[in-house]
Parts: sequence; structure tokens; C-alpha cells
Amino acid sequence: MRALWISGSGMAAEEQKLDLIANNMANLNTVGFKFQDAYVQEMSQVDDDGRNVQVNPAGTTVSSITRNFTQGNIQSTGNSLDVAINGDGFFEVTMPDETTGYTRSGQFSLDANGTLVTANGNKVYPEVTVSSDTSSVAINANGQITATKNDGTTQVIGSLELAKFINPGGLTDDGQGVFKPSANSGDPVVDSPGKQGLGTLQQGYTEGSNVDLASEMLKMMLTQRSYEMNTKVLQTTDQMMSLANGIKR
Amino acid sequence: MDNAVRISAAAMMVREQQHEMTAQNSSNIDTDYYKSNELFYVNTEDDTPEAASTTDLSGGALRTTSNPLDVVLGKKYFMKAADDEGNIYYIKDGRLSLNSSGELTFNGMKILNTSGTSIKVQSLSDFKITQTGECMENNAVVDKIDIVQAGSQAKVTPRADGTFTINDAGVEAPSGYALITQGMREGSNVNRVNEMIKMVNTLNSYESNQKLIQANDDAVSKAITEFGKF
Repeated sequence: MRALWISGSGMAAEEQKLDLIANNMANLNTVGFKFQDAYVQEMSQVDDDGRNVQVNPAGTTVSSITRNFTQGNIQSTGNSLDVAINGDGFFEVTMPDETTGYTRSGQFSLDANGTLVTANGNKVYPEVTVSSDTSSVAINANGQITATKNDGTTQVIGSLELAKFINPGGLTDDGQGVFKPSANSGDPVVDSPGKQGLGTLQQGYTEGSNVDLASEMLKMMLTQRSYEMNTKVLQTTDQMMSLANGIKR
Repeated sequence: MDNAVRISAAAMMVREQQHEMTAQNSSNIDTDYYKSNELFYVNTEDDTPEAASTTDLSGGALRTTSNPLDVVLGKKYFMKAADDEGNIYYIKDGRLSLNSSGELTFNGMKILNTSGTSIKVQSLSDFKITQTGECMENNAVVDKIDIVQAGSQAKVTPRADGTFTINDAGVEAPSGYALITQGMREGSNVNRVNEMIKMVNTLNSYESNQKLIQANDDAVSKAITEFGKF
């Protein structure tokens, strides 16, 4: 009976949704994390002979997984190399294979040469190097980086840029909070923070994840009950098959 | 006697098909914008029942997503969309997205404006859709989604990809607010209780028909054994 496979597809979809919920909840405190959601679609085939229409059921499927790029909460850390983006945009980073990646995670630090790197050790683009005789670094809302030397003199040593995409949902996930452009995302628009609708920067803050614990809990409850309902259908199908077999005693 | 068995067997097969539809509705109880289907039977000229289905277009529960590209339309309203070949379809599924050129799309199909072309969005951060389908950026109207209503003559037919077709006579200009709610999603309109009751009824009817076949079998075997005695 087809009903068996239909409720099976429902259970598989609920399992996939639960995986995403678990991942979202595990990243509740990951800086710059954006939650994921399953895009679920029904599957069917429709017969239309002109007089009557019949929907032939084929179950359900998770056709894609979408990422929601809404703003996370801005949290104070007091660390001068933590930078949060308030609004649209991504930091550009140079990946180990020299390609450009995009991230919202602005937990920067300096490597052995004094170059600004992300928490994963990837260099921030455009590259900024802080010399060893620097006492403090100031990053303003528009990305300009000013270093104050030990002798009290100040110097502009570079500036951060942001990139935005017309369809960030089309970015591909490169892992560790880094995204790569794809045919669906469109090309990056790069400019200084605050220009062309890009967000501004906040030094000493990080952007928390945009996971909402309450809504994840609600989704989890719904997922469990939907799974349960599919198992009931499955049981009924099983009973019907047993009855069919029972015709012949 | 043979006829009685045939009738019961046909009834069991009908119940199986109805159970499949219950399975379909149940497996999509969490599918946003899913519209539940119901199976019924129509008599054809040669008196053999033929299965047909109806789609319930009523709305499901709404929930806030704060995504400016999630919209919800009222029961009789549809957005117009075109595929790459220019075929027109009507959609109720409001999970819109942008393509790489910033055009408003649903599942790769372009949402059409009142002039029959695609709608371009410059920046999502201040993108708004009003209750009549007007698209606004920076508080100024920049475009308008072509929203239609299914009139009294309408024959709305679901398609496999979640879109609908409507006969030309049934397409009307919207008579009121199309009730677009932006930043919200609509859940499926499957009613859990209804589906469970249908399932119980289906199973009971399936079982009684099975018993009828068995009773018939008993009667036949009795006839064979009893009448043979003298």
C-alpha cells in the first residue's frame, strides 16, 4: 500500500527537521550563527482529465534547507578586536586556498605577524597589520582602524570593508560560519560599512546567534507530534494489510 | 454470491485509496501552506465509480517569521507567477525568495506585477508589501504584485509543484484587500482530529467489509457441506 511510503516520507522529513532544530539549539551561543530551517514541500502527482481532478498522493519532502539571516543580538565583550555588524553585510576573509569567504563572526585576533585574523585563523580582507609598538586599536562605525602607538601618536592603519548579497539565502555554507557566493546569491557588493545600505560596525561587541530558544522548543514539540501522527497512520496501514491477509483464513 | 464479494472487495480498495489521502494529509501536517485534499467518488456513465479529489483552500494557522519575503494571502486570493516559458500559474504559497538578480520568485518562478513583468527588489531591509500587494521601498510605492481572486465561476486546480491553475472565466480583479500579511507564514490547513476520525472510520469500514467477505465464504462452504448431507 502506498500509504506506507507516504507516512514513511513524513517521518523522514520530521527526522530531518529535528536534526536542524538540534543544530540550531547547539549553536545558541555561537557568535554570528544564523539558524536554519527546512523548506518542506508536498509531493504529489495530479491527474486532470478535464472533468475530474485527482491528486495522487506521494508524501512530503524537505526540498531544501534555508538559512535565516536576520540580525542576532549585539552583546558587549569589552574586547577591542571584537567587532559586530549592526545591519546588512559580511566581513571578507581570505581562505587558506586564497578564495574569499564571507562571515558575520567578528571575533578577531592578531596572528604572530600582527595581522588581523578571524577566530578560525583566516586573514581579514583587506589585510590589516598592527605593529608591535601599538598600545591600542580603535575601529569606528565606518570601518576605519586607527592605531595608538606607545609614544601616544595615532595612525590610520587600514579599514574594514563589508560585502552584501542581494540573496544571502543563496550563499553556500563553507563551515565554521563562513559562506561562499553561488549562482543563487548574486555577486557581492563591497563598500565601507554604512554605505549602500550596509550595516555599521560596533567595536567591543559581538553579534550573538539569531536562534530563538522558544521557537526552537515549539518546533521540537510540533515535530514530535507530527512524527507521532505519521506512526499512527503507519500502524493503521499495517492493520489494514493484516486484515486484507485475514480474508483467507 | 460472487457479486457480494466483488462489492466488498471494491469497498476495501476504495478505503485503501482514502487512507492514502489521509496519509498524505498527515505527512504534510507540518508543511507550510499545504492545502489538504479529500477523496470522493463520482459515478461515470458505465456506473463504475471514479476517484476524484477536492482541495480545501482555507487558511492554516499563522505564525510570525519576521522575514519580509514571507507573505500570507486570503482564502480566495492568488499571486500570479510565470515560469521560464512564460506560462502563468497562480500561487498561494507565500514563501517567496529573491533570485541572483533581485527578482521576486517562488520556486524559481517569477512573481508578476500588474504590467506582467517581474518585480525587482533593491534592498530587503526596507522592503514592504501592503494589503493590496503594493511593494514599497523607502516608504515609496515601487511596484505592485498582480493579485487575482478566484470568482464564482472559478475552477481552481492544484498542480504537483504547489501552484494552481484557474480557468480564465474564474479569474477576477480582487474585490477587497487581498489580506497580504507580510512577515508571517501560514501552516498547513490539515485538521488533526478530522484526519484521525477519517482514519478510524476507514479502518472500521475496511474491517467490516473483510468480515462480509469472510461471512460470504462461510455461507458458501456451509452450502457445500450441508447440502451434500442426506
